[in-house]
Amino acid sequence: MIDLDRLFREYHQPLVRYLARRLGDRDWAEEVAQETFLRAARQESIASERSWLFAVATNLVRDEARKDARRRRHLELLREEARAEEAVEPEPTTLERAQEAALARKAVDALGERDREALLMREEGLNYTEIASALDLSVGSVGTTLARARKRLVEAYEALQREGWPGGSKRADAGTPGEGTHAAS
Amino acid sequence: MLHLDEGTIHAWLDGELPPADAENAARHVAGCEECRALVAEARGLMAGATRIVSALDAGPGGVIPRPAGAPGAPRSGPRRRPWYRFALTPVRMSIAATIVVAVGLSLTARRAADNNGSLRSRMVDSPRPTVAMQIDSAASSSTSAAAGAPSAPPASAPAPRSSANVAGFSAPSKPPASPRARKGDLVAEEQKTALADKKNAPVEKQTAAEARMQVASAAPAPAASPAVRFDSVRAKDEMPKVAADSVQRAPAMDAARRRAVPTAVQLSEVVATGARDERPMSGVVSASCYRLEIDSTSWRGILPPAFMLDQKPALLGGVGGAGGGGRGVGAAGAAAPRAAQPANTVLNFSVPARQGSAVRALEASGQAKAAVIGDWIAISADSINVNFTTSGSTKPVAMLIVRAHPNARLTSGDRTDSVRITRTPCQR
Repeated sequence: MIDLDRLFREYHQPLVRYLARRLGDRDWAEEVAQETFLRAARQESIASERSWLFAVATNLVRDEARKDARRRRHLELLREEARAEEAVEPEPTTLERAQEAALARKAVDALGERDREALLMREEGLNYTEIASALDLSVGSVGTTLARARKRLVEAYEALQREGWPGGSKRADAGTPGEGTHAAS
Repeated sequence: MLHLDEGTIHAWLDGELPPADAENAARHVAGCEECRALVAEARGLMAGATRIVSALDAGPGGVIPRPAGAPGAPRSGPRRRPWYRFALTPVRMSIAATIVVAVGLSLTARRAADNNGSLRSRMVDSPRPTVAMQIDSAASSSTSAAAGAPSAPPASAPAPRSSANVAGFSAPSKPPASPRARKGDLVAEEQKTALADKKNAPVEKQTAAEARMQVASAAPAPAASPAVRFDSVRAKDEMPKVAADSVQRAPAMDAARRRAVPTAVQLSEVVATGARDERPMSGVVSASCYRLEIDSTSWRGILPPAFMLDQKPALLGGVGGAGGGGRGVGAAGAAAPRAAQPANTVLNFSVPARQGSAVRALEASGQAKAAVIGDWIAISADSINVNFTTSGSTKPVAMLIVRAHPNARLTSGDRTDSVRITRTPCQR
């Protein structure tokens, strides 16, 4: 039987972050994450927990499946406990950060769905095997997918900055991710 | 020499290549400047992508409308305040509180209006204003009401109820200071203030009710408190309509109609007029007999099943109904003598006189009994107020009869009720 509490403590935060980045809405992301854990709780065993969770969460986003209310409440309690353990309050969202987020959202949405999901999963620390498992890809193609996703994301971001999106000029002055790329190289 | 493809470079940088492949990649990059450039670019892309993706974390929650039934449909979370469980937000609670206060004020205002109606009834009942019972046979609604003589005692003055003068009812040394009575006094004070503000207003625009109020407010304090009827609770509802109508119609009355000799009398034609109408007012109010269907009610034994509204002044507890000033005769009545009224069917109200007449119970045969059990008064063209002061109740009973209304409204203390009432032939 799945140890739901352990699973939640271990993967809830990255999964919510992944979903929030994927959906652009933290509340929605948390709801989908709950649904993911509910489904995990129904499993007898999960071979690759992280890839499974991310795969299910990704499919839930796609399918908008229904939820289980009773266990959701339990998970909400667990989530509350997890939040209570977080001593550091999230810093308030400033206008500049909000503008930057909007720009990033636009750039991420410009990606293909599979590229976006692979990239976001990788950013959450999933390895290539897990990503391949979650997205039903071959492991060998994950690198290529990520390379394409990263390149397109940065290019889209820079293009949006040039188009004069809010905060674009500031970001250009401070150094865009693309510029950071060149600086790093 | 085969260069590394981007996928392999990213996989190598991500540490996802098998150790052998990673070692080969490192060896190749070390010796291939073109691939080193690709690796450098890939590092930048990875850093840039991470930074861009991290920027997504600043996005707020609840900004994307989700379809109903979608996972993550909005729902109250445990971090919300408890009142969210009841859909009570502070704003909603404020609105609810405002509504409660508004309802409370409305009820208070209604209670005040009740007392106002009671005051009107008192003022109409007040014996001192010159009030005439005008009969207009030509029209059923030619009425006017105006202020009475300023010498009239204020109706709002504390006065024992007529029940206090009746045998069987204890006569308090002071009027009962019930909350309602105190509220009535307060209302009277407010009305006085309001009327004082209206002194400059055109008289024509005053309603008859206001005029009557003015009579009351302008009157000096009485030497002795006259007997005042207890509340005619519903009488107030009829008063404003008639009064306003009277004021509007009065200017239109032509002289011929004013001089018309009454030939028939209907209850609907009984109206109260005031001193401004200086015609010698006299009128005849025909008596009517009524039957109450009280056999199946708790009023049985308290009120007579049938009664007659006599034309003669009420002499409570008396046997003849002649002279004496009627209601108020007794302890309080002796202290406030009034002009004696003829014991006939003609009431000349050119002098201050009371309006009320006797109420007598009817025998089974329809014959009126001699004893007076109360008095009555026309409070509008369509309604009369009957006070049973010697009924079987420990408290006086007020009855409001409205023309064409099948039920009479009974009030005794805090108790109110409706009883079906019909006319019945009188045997004189």
